[in-house]
Amino acid sequence: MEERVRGPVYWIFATLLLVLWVSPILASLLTSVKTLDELNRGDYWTWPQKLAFENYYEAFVNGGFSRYFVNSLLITIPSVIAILFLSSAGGYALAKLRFKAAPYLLLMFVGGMLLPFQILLIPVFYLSNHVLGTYDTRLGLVLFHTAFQLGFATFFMRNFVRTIPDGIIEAARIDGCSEWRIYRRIVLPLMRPALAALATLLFTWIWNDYLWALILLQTDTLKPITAGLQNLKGQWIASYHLQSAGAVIAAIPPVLMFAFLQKHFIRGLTMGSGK
Amino acid sequence: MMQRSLVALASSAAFLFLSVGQALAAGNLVINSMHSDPSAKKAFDAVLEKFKAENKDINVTVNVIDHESYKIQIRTWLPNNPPDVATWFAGNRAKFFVDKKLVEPIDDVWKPVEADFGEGAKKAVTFGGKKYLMPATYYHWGFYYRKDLFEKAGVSKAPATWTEFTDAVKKLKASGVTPITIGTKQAWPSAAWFDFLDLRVNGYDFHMALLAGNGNYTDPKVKKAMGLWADLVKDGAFPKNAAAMTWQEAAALLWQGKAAMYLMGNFVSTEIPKELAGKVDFFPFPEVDPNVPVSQVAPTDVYFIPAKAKNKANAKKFLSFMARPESQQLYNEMNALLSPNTKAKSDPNNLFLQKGSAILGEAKGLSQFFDRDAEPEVAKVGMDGFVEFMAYPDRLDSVLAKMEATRKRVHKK
Amino acid sequence: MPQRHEQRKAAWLFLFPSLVLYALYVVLPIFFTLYLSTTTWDGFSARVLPACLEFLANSEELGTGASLSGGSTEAPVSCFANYAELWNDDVFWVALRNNLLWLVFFSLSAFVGLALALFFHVKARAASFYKSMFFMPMVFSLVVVGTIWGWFLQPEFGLLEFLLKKMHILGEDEQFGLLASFHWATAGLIVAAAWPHAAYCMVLYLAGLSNLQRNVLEAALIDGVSRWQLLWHIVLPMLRPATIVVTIVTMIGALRSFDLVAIMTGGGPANSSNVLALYMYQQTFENNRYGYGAAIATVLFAVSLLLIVAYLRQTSRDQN
Repeated sequence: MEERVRGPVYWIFATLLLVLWVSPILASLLTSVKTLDELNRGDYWTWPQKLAFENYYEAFVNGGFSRYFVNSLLITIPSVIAILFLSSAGGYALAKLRFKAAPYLLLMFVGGMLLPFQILLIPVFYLSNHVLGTYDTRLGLVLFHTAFQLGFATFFMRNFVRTIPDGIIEAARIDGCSEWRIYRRIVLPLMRPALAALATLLFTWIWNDYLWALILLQTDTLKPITAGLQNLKGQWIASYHLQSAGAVIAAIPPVLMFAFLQKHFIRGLTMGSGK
Repeated sequence: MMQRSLVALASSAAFLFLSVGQALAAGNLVINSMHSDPSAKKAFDAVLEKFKAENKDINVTVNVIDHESYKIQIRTWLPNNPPDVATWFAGNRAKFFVDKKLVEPIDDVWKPVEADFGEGAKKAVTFGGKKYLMPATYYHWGFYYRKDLFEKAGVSKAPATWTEFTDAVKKLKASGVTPITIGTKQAWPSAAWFDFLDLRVNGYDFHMALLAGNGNYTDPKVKKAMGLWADLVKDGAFPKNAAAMTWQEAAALLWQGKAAMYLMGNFVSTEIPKELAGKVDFFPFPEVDPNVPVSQVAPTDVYFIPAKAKNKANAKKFLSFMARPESQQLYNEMNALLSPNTKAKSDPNNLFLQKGSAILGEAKGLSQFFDRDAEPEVAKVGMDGFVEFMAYPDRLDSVLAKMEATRKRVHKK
Repeated sequence: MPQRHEQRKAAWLFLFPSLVLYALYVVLPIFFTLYLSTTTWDGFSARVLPACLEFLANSEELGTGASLSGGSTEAPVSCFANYAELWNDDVFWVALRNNLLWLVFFSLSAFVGLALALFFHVKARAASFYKSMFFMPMVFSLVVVGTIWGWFLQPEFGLLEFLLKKMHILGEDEQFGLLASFHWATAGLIVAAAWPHAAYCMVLYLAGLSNLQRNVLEAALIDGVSRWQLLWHIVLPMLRPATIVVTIVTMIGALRSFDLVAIMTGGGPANSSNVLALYMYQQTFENNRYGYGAAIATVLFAVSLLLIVAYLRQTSRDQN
């Protein structure tokens, strides 16, 4: 089944498969370096006469992608940090502290992670607008992402903490350590691989969110890159070269993160799914 | 940990307080605009520069949001946290917000400039005796066509009657091009066909009453108008992929010579590629019934002040400024559109504008546009129906029945 | 015993901020939506009352004047008026049908993921490069996926149309036009959605494969079991945990589908590719029918609840 050396036929087939698989990406990459003149003439799929990298400049500078980019960071990073902190504490409590409500709270978190979020759309919109006053602020988006991702994240951390032997924690308790100290000094350092894995997943999910940015933000200068790309597509409707350049720019951060942290990312996915 | 979250709570409260405080400071003006295509943006910037030069103490912020998103998002910010000035459409589409008391009346802004505007413009901004909107721009609709393709197909002159028109369509089709391009991924371009055919077949008064909710969409007269459209669809006059194209993508077919004409608003004329200068011309929607006086579709775009705006005094300054003939002239010249202020001149070198202002001047009546004259919900069902009808012309009856059912529910009669 | 008390106190303290946020943003909103689904709230009026109780407000005073309903002369309306209207709403049924189509055909991406995982389950330096490239779509935002695929499938100028014509699969004047078709637009959307999702399933299955006990496989191979038998009777059963996760994630994903539909077709042509999530958004934010939108969301929630309960039962059984 595995680890057998494959012949050239296998590799040729694999390469064909790969080209087919990435052909939509190649199409966008090609278009992103075409000039408007070529597109106006209808030369969509010939090799570009000259590589028009200025499309990227146009998208990044005049299209405001630099600002959208920063907004995405300002929304994603605080959310990820807050979730890591809250879910590790919550996960520890659910896994290692004995109290009656634990299984019910766990069910609540697991159930929430599977919700169709449309059920939350109107109330969260209302809450941000009329109760918390966080509508059209990045803070509002950070709070929502933090709350919503807690379901998965707490479940994830709790499953990981369960694998830590009880002995270590019991020993610390007998030594008179407070629960806070146990969490801070013993459990948290042991959680590091899980935190790294979770962080990469959360980063990707929150970075890629579109719906909630659409609902909770109005001002153009606050929008993250996904909403920005969609906004620019509205302005550059037939300018496929700029749309494509925008799509490539929006895809770069998660791809870079994936390239460098692939191990954590994949471990996160498989840990999140395994029990 | 409790302490930390308390600190976070306190700091977020402080943040909120600060942002509110800032907005209250004197000298601010926030404008939300949906005119996001490059030429409109440039024109607006030029006008804004003048306004800023006159009002150095006002700190102006402009949010440009793309047209399609704007139409949706305005419903969320208008009742809750609106800007000081917003762009919108005249007609029923504005009345919807006026009825919900979300728009500030601006009779005081209107008083000094009333003489500059025609009766039609004033009618389109007045609801229940008060004026709510300031028209800044209007434009004509009609056919933009490739003269070279018409000649090649053997069509010597622009069609003026329906017979000439259908004849041209047949010849163009035979010459191997798509006679008429259209893109209905956003459904509204289809509605122009409904507007014009109903105006030409049944006349202005019938059409306006129908759209105001006082007609019946299943009326045989409506069916008669739609029948002409069905014939075109069945003859293959439109591109097969219309439903997946935006209006700009459909325009690309015209520029590339794959299609010969396009029923569009004059804003399309700014998109004509330089290489095609002189090859693209305009003719008005042809006459169908010589007994029906000719009316035109001429949508008006406006500025208004939301009822909950924070800086109303500055907003009124801006609207007064936009009402001036020189502001309108500057803005519309750069945009290739017409000025509602009758003292503003339209660009004499722009043939499209000259033809447009001529046909609008002769028109018996001007309608705004299907989705501005009809109630929003009826308009939505109607336009989805038109898209369906263009793919399946045999479903005409069920499409009209759906529109009629919605009209009954919305207008309660 | 004091230690038990200590632990309980600590647990609640540790969970307190999470629970507050979670209650505010996740738990209470569910009930609020259920409540809203009984109203005709338009998002403008200050008061939100169920439709059947609205006469109370009308008799009290004139209100803010923003009420959409015709006034107090009308008979009380049923609190389930929104659901009754849904029952007669063609678009709702089309959207529900499309969600079911998503549920069925989106699941095929799991098979694609499994096939790719089996194919690339090879130890070779080059294989890891191939795998990384296959994984890539998984990290794209759906806005990016929608942009890329919308362009790829663009019916007039797109690459797919161009290639099909070049290879003479399509004639010069024939058109493929997936996204323009009333019948096939949803298929185009599902293909685009399956692209990143198959990559995700591939990851899960590859992880599952690497956990297989090698001695079992080797023993089977020595016994002369055919490769298909091996796959069917040994490998697939051993991948069962991965399959459970893939199934639930796929089904939830199919019900949640919003971004791609909104970006690639907007539910069109003429609502033929609409889904509940998008239709709910349109009714709420484009038509200002918050009550009606809430009713659509409630239906979506009810469908998902079946899946959620099934999954929760599975999980709690595994946990015990």
